[in-house]
This record gives sequence, C-alpha cells and structure tokens, in this order.
Amino acid sequence: MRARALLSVLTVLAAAGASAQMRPIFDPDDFVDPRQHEGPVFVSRLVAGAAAGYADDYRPLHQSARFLHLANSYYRGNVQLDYKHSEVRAKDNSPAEVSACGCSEPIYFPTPPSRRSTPAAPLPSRKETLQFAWYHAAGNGAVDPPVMLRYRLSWSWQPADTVIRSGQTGQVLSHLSGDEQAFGLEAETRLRIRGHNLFGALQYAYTVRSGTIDDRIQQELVYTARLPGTSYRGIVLRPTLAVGAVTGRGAAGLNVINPAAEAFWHHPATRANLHLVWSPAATRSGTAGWETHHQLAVYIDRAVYLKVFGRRDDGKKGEASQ
Amino acid sequence: MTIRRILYCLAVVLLAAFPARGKPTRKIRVTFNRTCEAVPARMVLVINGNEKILTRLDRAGTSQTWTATREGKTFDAEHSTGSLRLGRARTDCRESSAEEDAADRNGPSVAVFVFDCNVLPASDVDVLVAPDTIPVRYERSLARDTLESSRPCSEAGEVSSSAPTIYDVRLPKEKLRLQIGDLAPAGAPGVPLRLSKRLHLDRKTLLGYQNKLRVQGELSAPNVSPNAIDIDARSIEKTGFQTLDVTVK
Repeated sequence: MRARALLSVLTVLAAAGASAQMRPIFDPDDFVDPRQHEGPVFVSRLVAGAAAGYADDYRPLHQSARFLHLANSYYRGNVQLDYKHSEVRAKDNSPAEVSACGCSEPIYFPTPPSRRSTPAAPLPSRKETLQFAWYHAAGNGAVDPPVMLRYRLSWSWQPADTVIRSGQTGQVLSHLSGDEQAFGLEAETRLRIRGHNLFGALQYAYTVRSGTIDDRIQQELVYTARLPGTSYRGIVLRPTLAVGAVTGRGAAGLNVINPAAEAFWHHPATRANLHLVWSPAATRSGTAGWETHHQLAVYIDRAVYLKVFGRRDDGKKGEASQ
Repeated sequence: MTIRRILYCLAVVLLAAFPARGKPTRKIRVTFNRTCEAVPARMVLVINGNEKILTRLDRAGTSQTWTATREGKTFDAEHSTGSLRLGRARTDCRESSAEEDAADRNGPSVAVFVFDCNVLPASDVDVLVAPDTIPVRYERSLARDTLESSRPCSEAGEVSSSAPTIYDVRLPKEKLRLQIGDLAPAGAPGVPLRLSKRLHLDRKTLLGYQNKLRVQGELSAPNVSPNAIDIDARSIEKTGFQTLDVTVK
C-alpha cells in the first residue's frame, strides 16, 4: 500500500513536472526561462527586510523577525544552481536556552510542544541552502510556444543549538549542538483547461531536526496553485493558494490551507525591488484544531552582481555590472 | 586540391546520393471549394509560414482558379501549408496536394491549394521600432478551425520602417509576437502583443509590459522574478531599444 502511494506520488511528479517549495517568505522568485538568455547568467542578490508573525515551514516562531538573505544563482541552458545564505534575527535567537530540573529523567522548561501539537520553529539563526533545478519545455497546443516548467531539488541546513541550565542555580549544565536539515522537491505543474493554462507547484519536503531536546521529523506534501497576477501602475500583484498535508502535528490528512498575496514593485532607476507579502496560513494540529497564523513581510532586494556571459552573435566574453 | 574544393565535391556527391525528398516545384494553383461571391482583386499566398516571400496570384479569366509561380526556392508540392491574404481578410492554413501539370507533363508537379471562402474581418497592423536600425521579426499564429482540412498556422516575417505593415491579422484570435533585435535569443518566443487599437512602449514601459506578461503566466507559471527582470533590462539596454509603436488599422 505504501509502495503504491509512493508510486502514485512519483507518477504525479513525473507527469506534471516539478516544483517544490521550502522557501522562506523572503526568498524572491528566481525563475528565469532558459529561452530568455543565450549564454550562462550569474546573479548575486541581496535581500533585506522584516516579517511580522514570522513562520518557518508552517511552524510559527511567535515573534517578528528581521532578515538578510544572499541568493546566488547560476543559470546555464536548462539548469539552475543556487547557493543561498540567510541570517534571521528576532528577540530570542539561537541557541535556545532551557532549564532542566536535574531529575533522573530530565524535564525541560519551557517544555517542548507535544507530539500532537504544531512543532516550534527553530530559533532564528543562519541557514544555508543548496538548490539544483532543471527546466523542461512542455507542449502548449499546436501553434503556441511551449510552456517552461521547473523541477527543483533543495537541501538546507541550519544550526539548532541548545544551552541547558540548571533550574536551581542557572549554571550551564550542557550545550547541545543540534541542527535541522530539510530536503525538498518542487515540481511545477500545468493543467490545460479549455485552452487556458493553470499553473501550480507540487512540493514535497522532508525536514529532520536532531541533537535538540525536541527532535522532530516533518514531511509535507503541498500543492500551490499559482494564479495569474495583474498589475496596476507598475505594481504587480500575485496570488497563490497552497493546500496540503504536513506530518508530525497529530492531525492526519489535509491540515494546511495557505492563501498568499504578493505585491511587487520594481524601481527601474535603482533596479531595486520592493515586496510586500501577506500569508495567512490555516493549519490544523491534534491539540489545537484549526488555527490561522498571519505572516506579513516587507523586504527589498537588489542584484549586487549580475553577469551575462557572452552571446554567440557579438563574440563578447560577457558583461558584469552592479 | 584545396579543402574548399574537397568540401564542394563532397557536397555534390551527397546531394546526388540523397536527393531532396518530395516533389519540388514553384507552380501554384489555388481554388475555392465553392463559388465565392466577393473575390478580392489582389490575392497573395503565403507558403510554409514564410511571409518574406509573398506570392501574388493571377486569376485565370473569370474562373474560380488562380495561378502563380513562386519566386525563390522551390517547395514541396505535396504537404506544404499555405494561407491567403485577401485584403482585410485572410484564410486559415491548408495543406497542398500535388497534381500533374497538364501543359507540361514532364515538368514539376503543381501545388494545389483549396480554400474555403472567408469573410471574417482582419486588420493590418503597423509596427514601428526606434531606432529603425533594430531588426524586427514577427511571428503570427492562428489555431486551426473546425474543418478537418484546416491546419494550424504558424507564420513569420519581418517589418521595417519602410515596410512596417503586417497584413490581414485576424484579431483577437490570431496571436502576434515580436522579436525586437536581440531582446531574446534567436529562436525564443517573441514578445506577445496584446492589442486593442494602439500600443506605445518605451524602455521603461516595455520592462513593465514584460513583467505584466510574466505575472500573468503566459509561457510559464506566473512569477515576479527579479533575476528575470534584470536580464530583460540588460537586454533592452544592450539592444539600444527606444520605442515601439503598434497601430491596428
């Protein structure tokens, strides 16, 4: 049965194309249609901003956060490689500090959420992400050019250290050096309905936290409908709707419904981009039932380095700028 | 013997060993499958989507048959596609069949195209790009209609400041795309034109126009990718593009 379920998932992924998420709210879109560039392209982009009600992979942090993010993307043909480094800071940052009672079976304060509750997000720290993506052109009717879909594998790592103090004396008893890793697959999909394309992304992520007092494994399978956006006076609006299931919170089946809207403004003179993202996520856990958690992020991004390698037609080796 | 001579001989041998397939011809005959009440005085045939070569047809008396000899290279008399420009109207694309030329039995076959009368209105579209040294190529596509003999139309040509008109575009069903200089690599889909009556774009608004198309998700999932925008901006700058004016007449 499990094999059949796995086969079904793989079939859907293979048939539909691929697009997996695991993206923090401040990670800007980095899709570049391979037909847009002839030679390879390298872009290094800096992102800075803040988020109210910050959440990490459907796990609320219960505090606001500010962030700095550096995304390095290399595009060559139908392949995209990324290395991303993020620094997130809030009032309470990693390492987590807990008190232990000193009993033979230690009890920690604050007590980690139960296995039937939404897990706590790892406290803010740095995060490293590597991604490999492949673009695939799919048919689009007899006369229209093919549509381009992206399939992406991601791996991310962040430290999740814990300092354990004595509940009586406050003395440091031990230091746990833990971490959290996440593996993801994102497959963009396209459904053709009455001559119109409905795009989306099917995302699978496996997140494992180890070496902490609250070791957890979370799996998520989420479909995100990427609905057509619009623009008004240069401000682009884009809605998405994600639905899916996340394990490790005592609620089987559909337990995530996450509409989101992004307003985006490009300033041509400075080539900076302003983003405003609102993401109200309704999630369900075994103990609390359905809860809605609002994330609101505002951030600016700008390419700090952009190199378009030489086109064949002009023979130049390439141009760097910014 | 120079290398050039060796290559020439090799090419001759290869051409002799592997002759071009099909029935190459320049002879054309066009008919309608029923009598058309209003036949324009000037009819032009586009073959295999190549609008750089427009073949003007001559009517044989008052009959419902038009003939022509195509200029330039030969084409396959069988299984080529063609569509007519009728002056503010156009036909869909049809496939040719080869017939023996009764007047020249030993000569090449005649490519025969049979069309339906079509009175659906079409517009001429003028495209002007500044500076006019930037080459502009257009692609136009029309889905096949319900008739079994209809074929999907994918046609392309070039416009310039001296010849800025794309003739007989059946808007809005027919789609137009523009390849403006090196804005996109050769072979990439051009910028689609969403036309009403007039469209004016300068450097800044072209970038906004491309962003709008991107977020509407025409050829990929809707996105607001800053990397894609920066690459577009770089291409616009490098091309030297200033303005684009499109007028539907």
